Amino acid sequence: MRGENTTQGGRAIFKGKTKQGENGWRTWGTSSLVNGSLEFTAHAQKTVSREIVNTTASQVAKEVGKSSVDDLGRVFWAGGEHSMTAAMNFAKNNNMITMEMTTAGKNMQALTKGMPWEKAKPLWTNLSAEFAHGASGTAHVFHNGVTGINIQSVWGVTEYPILQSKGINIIYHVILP
Amino acid sequence: MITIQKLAIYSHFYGDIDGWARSGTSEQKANMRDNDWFLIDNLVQDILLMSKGLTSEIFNQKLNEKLVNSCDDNSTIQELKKIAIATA
Repeated sequence: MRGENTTQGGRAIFKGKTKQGENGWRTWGTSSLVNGSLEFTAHAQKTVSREIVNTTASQVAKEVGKSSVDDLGRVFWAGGEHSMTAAMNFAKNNNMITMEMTTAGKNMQALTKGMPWEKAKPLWTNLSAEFAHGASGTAHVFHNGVTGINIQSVWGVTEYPILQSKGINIIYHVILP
Repeated sequence: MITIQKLAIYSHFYGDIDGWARSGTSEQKANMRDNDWFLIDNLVQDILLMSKGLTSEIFNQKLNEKLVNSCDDNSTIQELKKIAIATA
């Protein structure tokens, strides 16, 4: 990745730009170190080379575990858009947070939009694991009660095992869309 | 109603509905709903069972009727069957 480091208003800023990847995707992003907390904004066009994707995912994963979201209760979901929307509404109304509401989650959404899923899924799995590792006390999860959830979902494979191993109290919310 | 376009979205995410919810483009979101996803999921599973000879004649008959009623045309049914077999 090519780029330059600058400072602006007390922020250390790195602006990087990639070359066109072999698989036709191009990414660029801006990382800012503010009071020890990494803010990262990513953009993607077509596919990113695996090397660049991993770099970006690593930066994003570090950010999601930072203190700004540590104090908030964590809300998980599985089973499609209805579950995601219900989880986000619940989180907003109860001063909690879903992974997609974090800066890292929003950046990951921007980064992976339209990306081949075999490349995007590991990034989301990594971020989900970080988000689950950061949970403490009680966590909430929203599931679709009409259709159920896939046993291979990120919830089933990644998030639930981590929460269970940490002894997190899980409160289940079943939605009936 | 299942269309070739919806099956393309389903295939793009390898059937992972949460992946679609997280990383779907606005076009992919506009052309698909949770219920479409679950209908395809169920049909894929039923086709797979039928292809393995695990189902009764009545089940197969009802599934074929369901495919006709759920898909917009025969090419969509064939594509759905290909997806189901590929998941085996």
